[in-house]
Amino acid sequence: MVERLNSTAELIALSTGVALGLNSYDAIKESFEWLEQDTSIVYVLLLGDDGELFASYDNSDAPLDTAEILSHYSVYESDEILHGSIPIKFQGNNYGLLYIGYSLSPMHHRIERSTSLALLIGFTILILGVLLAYLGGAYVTLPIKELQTAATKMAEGNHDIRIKHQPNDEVGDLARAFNTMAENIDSVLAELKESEQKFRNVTESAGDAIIGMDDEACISFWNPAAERIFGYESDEVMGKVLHDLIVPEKYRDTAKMAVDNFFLTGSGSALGKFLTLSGLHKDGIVFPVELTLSAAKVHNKWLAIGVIRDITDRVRHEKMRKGLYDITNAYTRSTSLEELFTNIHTTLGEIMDVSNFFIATYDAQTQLLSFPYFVDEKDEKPDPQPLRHGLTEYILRTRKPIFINEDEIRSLAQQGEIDLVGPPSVQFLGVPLLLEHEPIGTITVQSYSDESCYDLDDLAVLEYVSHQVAYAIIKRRDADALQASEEKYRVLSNKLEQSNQMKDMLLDIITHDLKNPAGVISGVTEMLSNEYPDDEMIKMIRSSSENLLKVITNATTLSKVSMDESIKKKELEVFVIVQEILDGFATALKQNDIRVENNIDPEQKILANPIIEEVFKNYISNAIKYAAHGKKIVIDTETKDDNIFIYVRDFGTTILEENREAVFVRNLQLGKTEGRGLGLAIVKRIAQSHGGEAWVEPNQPTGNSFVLQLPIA
Amino acid sequence: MKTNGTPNSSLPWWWPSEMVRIISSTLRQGILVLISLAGLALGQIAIVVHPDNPIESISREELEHFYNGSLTQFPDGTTVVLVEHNPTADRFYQILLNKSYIKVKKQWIRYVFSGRTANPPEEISNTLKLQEFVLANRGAIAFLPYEDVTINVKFLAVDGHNVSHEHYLFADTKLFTQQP
Repeated sequence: MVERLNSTAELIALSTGVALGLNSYDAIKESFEWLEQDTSIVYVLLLGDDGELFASYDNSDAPLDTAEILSHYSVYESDEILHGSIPIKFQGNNYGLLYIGYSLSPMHHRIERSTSLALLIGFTILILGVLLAYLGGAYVTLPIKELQTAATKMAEGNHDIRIKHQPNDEVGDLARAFNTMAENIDSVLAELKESEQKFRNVTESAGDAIIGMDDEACISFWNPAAERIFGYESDEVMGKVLHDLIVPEKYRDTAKMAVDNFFLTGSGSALGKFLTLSGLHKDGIVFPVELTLSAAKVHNKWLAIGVIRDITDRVRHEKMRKGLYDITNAYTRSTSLEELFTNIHTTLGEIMDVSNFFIATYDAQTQLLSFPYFVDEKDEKPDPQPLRHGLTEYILRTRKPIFINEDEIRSLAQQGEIDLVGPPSVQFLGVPLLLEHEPIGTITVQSYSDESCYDLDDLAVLEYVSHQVAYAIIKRRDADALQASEEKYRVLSNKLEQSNQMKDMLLDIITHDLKNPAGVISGVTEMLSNEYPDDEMIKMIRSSSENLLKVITNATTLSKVSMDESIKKKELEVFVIVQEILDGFATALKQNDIRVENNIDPEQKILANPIIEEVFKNYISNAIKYAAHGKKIVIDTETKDDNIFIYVRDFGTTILEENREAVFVRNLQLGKTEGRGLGLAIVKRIAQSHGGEAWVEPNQPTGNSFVLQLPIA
Repeated sequence: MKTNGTPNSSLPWWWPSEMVRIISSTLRQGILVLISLAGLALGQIAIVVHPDNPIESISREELEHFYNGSLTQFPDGTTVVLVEHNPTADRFYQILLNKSYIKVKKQWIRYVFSGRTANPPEEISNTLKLQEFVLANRGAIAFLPYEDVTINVKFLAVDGHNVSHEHYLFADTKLFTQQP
């Protein structure tokens, strides 16, 4: 009672504390609702810490003596009411005291009532007890009987049986337990069935033979793959001794000993490893297999499960892969064709029968078939020969590999495709050596005795080899050709060198050995003409010798410009160059009363070879020659885009439009030396060798403007 | 009940540890007084309602009736949802009801215990959340510091004085000067 009082009081005190401390009234509302429903609570009083009674709940019939209640500090009882008080606290704050009254009267009534009823109930129980003993006995045994029947049926294999009668007592619990057990058994059986089905699916679809062996070394399991690999049907082998069937005779004793040891100890060297062994087929063929063996102890007996894989193809492919690798290796290892052929022959020998092996090459130029490598049991190595009508020629013609037997060879002969040449072979395997689809030879293996000596894999290997050999042969040919062309080139370049030296020598002769005498002649004739000014002959000689000297000078200059592919440039001041040339022409200018306006900016620089002064020399001498007497020559520059334009303008006769280009064309006719001839051709050449251009355009109002365009560096 | 005596109360006042205790407790109380006075120096308290509420002004009497729970409907019949802002509540109830906050809370508990249909105020201390609550409740009425009003809630004038008026009931209070 006191506990109940306490817990109620604590709940209300706490919710009051929440309202005061957290300003939330939800808890107090709820505990009030709860308070109202509990009729045994007579009152609740809330006394603040200031001594003020701030809330009260009164459910009592009589008026509440508040003063009396508040004067007590501990639990007490009066008028069938249990009174108590607890502090209202929240988060360490003390908000006052809660007083609660709890009615004891309903309980007192109960006690009185129960005392008076006790005797009556005692009697009733006694009578009922006797009655129940009879009925209960029957009631209890009924489900037990049902349980017994169900258990028997279950034992007989009827798993669908369930107990319907489930009373609410221990027997009922037993019945329910039975039903649960029956359901569990059902699901376990279903799982078992499923896993069995899975096992069957796996073993039946497995590509590997799965063979079970019991403790007497007899076959207990044999899957479809085992049937396929070993040739025995499952019915044939069941219960028979395993090793007598699938182990080759020479290994049988060893195997049996290992098995006996295994059944004794449950361990063995073969367990849990991959073993490569030999298997025996029903037909008696021995083939390589890979075996993994596992052991299991079932019902205290050892059971061995072997998974066996037929690795015939794998072994063969491994051998072939190694062979192909060796061939590739042979190719890189060999330094000459002969060595390569020998290496290929040796390597091929590890994969197939190469007792009869030859490589034939066909030279389209000589039209000869030669046999650089030839090994044969019956035939001698033939000499190079013209094409005949044999199988090799047939391959060269069709450009396709052939793989034929004796009968097919004969039928080809009957069709007229081939003539029978050499000893007849029973199997013939030939592959063309192709270079860009053109046959350059064949590679062949053949057998004179074994009809099943080769198969399609061998053909594939041979085809692979043919690429290597064809490539090697071509490389050799290319190397030969390269050597030949190198030789040719060397001879040519020697010749070129010689002719270049000759040219240099000629130039040298012209510049020095020819120029000097010409200079002497010119000088002497000048003196002569001064002495005999009226002698026409001397005048002619003088003019001719001057021209000769000019031609030689020009030719030298031209050859200099022509020869140098890339000219050396340096920074030059145009003004200075032009001024020096003008100084050189000072006498001529004075004689003709020509005034020159040099408008070139003294700061103007160009990037050019010093030979550029030839241009100005030519332009200025031309201008002097063609400017009218007493007129002027104007020289100025203009910079546009990335180019500098230098103009030499005269005010003489304007060159006709149709001749403007012609004046820059090289004209070697000595008779017309009066013209602008060779000089301007050199000008153009020099300008172009600088990446620039030279041309003439009409000057305003008359005369010509000779232009030199040069790129600004 | 608990007695207020401390275990050291028998010591004389000049005892060093006793002196430290007295000085520190005096200091602590002084600081508390300062802090509470500073609290009084806060600005106006705004009375706000839902913007759709047609009410524009409220008398002090009506406001008292709302907050002591004796009036539960606005003139248009909408049920009042009381909202209080803590810590503004102390000052608000002191001015409006001349009661401490704890007294007001006790009063609501009394209402609950007497079985009266009581809708005690919803206490919200975050002013933004408080305003959002007002916007979400058509019948809400709330008080909060005027300076914290940031959302479009509706201010109510009290006794015809709006919040910035000097005779407004919850006008700002100068430090150390209390409303009579």
